[in-house]
Amino acid sequence: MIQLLNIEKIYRTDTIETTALNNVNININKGEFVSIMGPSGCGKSSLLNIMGLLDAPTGGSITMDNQSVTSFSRKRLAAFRNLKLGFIFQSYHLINDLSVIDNVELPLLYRNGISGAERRKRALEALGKVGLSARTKHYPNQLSGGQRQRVAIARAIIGNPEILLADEPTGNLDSAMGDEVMNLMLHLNKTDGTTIVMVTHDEQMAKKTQRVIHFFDGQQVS
Amino acid sequence: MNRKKENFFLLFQLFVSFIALFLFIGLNLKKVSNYFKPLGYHYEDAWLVKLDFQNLSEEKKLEYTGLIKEKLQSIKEVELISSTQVVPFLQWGREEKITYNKQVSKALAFEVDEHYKDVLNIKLLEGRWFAPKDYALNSIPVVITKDLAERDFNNENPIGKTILITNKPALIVGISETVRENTGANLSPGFFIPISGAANTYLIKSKNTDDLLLLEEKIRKAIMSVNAPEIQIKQNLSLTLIQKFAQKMDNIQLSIALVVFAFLFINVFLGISGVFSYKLSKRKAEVGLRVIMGASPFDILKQFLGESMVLTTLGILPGVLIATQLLIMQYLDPYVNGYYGVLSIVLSALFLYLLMLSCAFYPSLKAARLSPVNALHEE
Repeated sequence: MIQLLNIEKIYRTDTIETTALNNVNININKGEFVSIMGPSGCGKSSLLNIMGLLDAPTGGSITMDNQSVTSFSRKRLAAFRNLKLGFIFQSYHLINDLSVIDNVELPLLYRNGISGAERRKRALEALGKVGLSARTKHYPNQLSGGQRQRVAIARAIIGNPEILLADEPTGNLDSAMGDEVMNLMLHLNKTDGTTIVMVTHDEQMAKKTQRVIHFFDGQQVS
Repeated sequence: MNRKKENFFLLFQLFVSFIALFLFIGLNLKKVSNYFKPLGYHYEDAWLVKLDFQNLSEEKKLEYTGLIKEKLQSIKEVELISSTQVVPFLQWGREEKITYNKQVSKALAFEVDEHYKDVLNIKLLEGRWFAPKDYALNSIPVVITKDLAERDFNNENPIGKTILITNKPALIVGISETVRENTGANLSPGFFIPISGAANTYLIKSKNTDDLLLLEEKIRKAIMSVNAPEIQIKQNLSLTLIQKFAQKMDNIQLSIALVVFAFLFINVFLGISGVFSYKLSKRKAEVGLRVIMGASPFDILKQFLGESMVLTTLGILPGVLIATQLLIMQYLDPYVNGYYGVLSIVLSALFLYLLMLSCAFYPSLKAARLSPVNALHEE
């Protein structure tokens, strides 16, 4: 499902050159739930950004869903992200000026041929899946951290993506809420067959996934 | 949306800009359009002579007036002389109350003599111009302008009707073409009545002369030849020169208005651009998120430009309603009204839409080009 070949990411300024990723080769199968672990600054987030097509690698190639996406234009990348990928972030990244349901609908706004009524219907379904049907008209700042992350998950799954990329999704939550969110992702992986790549610092959470990839100093160590 | 509160300043700025723009366009549009309308007379061959009789008695003034006219008439370049209180581009009629069928209205009174029409080639549409024989009548003979006839007499024929001019009866003997004070002036419904007493202002119709200096000298000599040291020549020049001067003053006035407008425009442009840039800089994380969710650069551009259009609509809407109300209630008559009023509203709105688009375009383009990863970290 995701193939990273000889991926290299170097950040350059006028005076400094920092290698964030060095010769990374990863193959993630369809329906797999993989976690990526490593100390801060080891390149986990850089890797997730590259997998999410948010940042281009300095070298190497990426194949996703059997398509070589390395040479895609910005417009095509945007369309690919919209159709195939879902994102969950540690700090939720909800738009505070939009209600819960409007936040959830967001990815479908950029998909052609979906009416307003259809968007609303699917947003309600997605919110139902994460147990937030009663909060549709609330604003993010009226919700708890766990509820916000569930809204973010609903937003990530509304477009039925094949791949879910989660950047420390439980990092800002207490253990009970973290478990709740983790169970939700496990459920999605199991029932919908969604491929999930999760960056985490939490070993207990990582153990619940099918495979753990360890990173250190920009390189895959296991 | 919580953002409404944040947008209040921008909406207020748009509202104030709309009102200022509406008044500016409204006040100047009609004036500019007047340049393309006929004056109702021809001033090109006319010459103005204005005298100062100082402390001469009315009797002496009348005596010298007749003498001066005789002397002027003897100049071969002079075709006709008219005594008048009304000089295009310089001194126009005075407002008087007129009453017809108990309906009271106001119009400009033009005090002129029987030759005025021919000196300025004013077209007579109906009836006749007044003549010396009318001066002995009990009623004042009056020639009304076409716009006054249309305004106060509807479908009636005004010829032969008696009106009251500040309570004095006046008989309408003719209808003339409408006349305007100068090229930028609005139509001013009015009426011509015979001049009373000795005139100190004369309009002369000249013929066969291009040598204005020579004519000026001949006129000066003719007046001097009456041997009245009390009489001084205050003005002795062609109406074309006066028109040019009036035009120049008009242009200066318009230029000042344009400079003020340009200054306001630059301020509004910078203000709105600044507010817009600030607003978008606070929304970088949102832009990043939208890009991550699948928005293309064009989607981002479209969204922010669309928002700017919605904001413009909300900002100018109260202004449009107020301006429409002012037009309906005729509060801005005669300066901004009717077709020009509506056109001013449309042009002001269009201008602000274009201004907002141009203010929003660059910040929106910058937002559309943001790297989603960097933008997301702005939160």
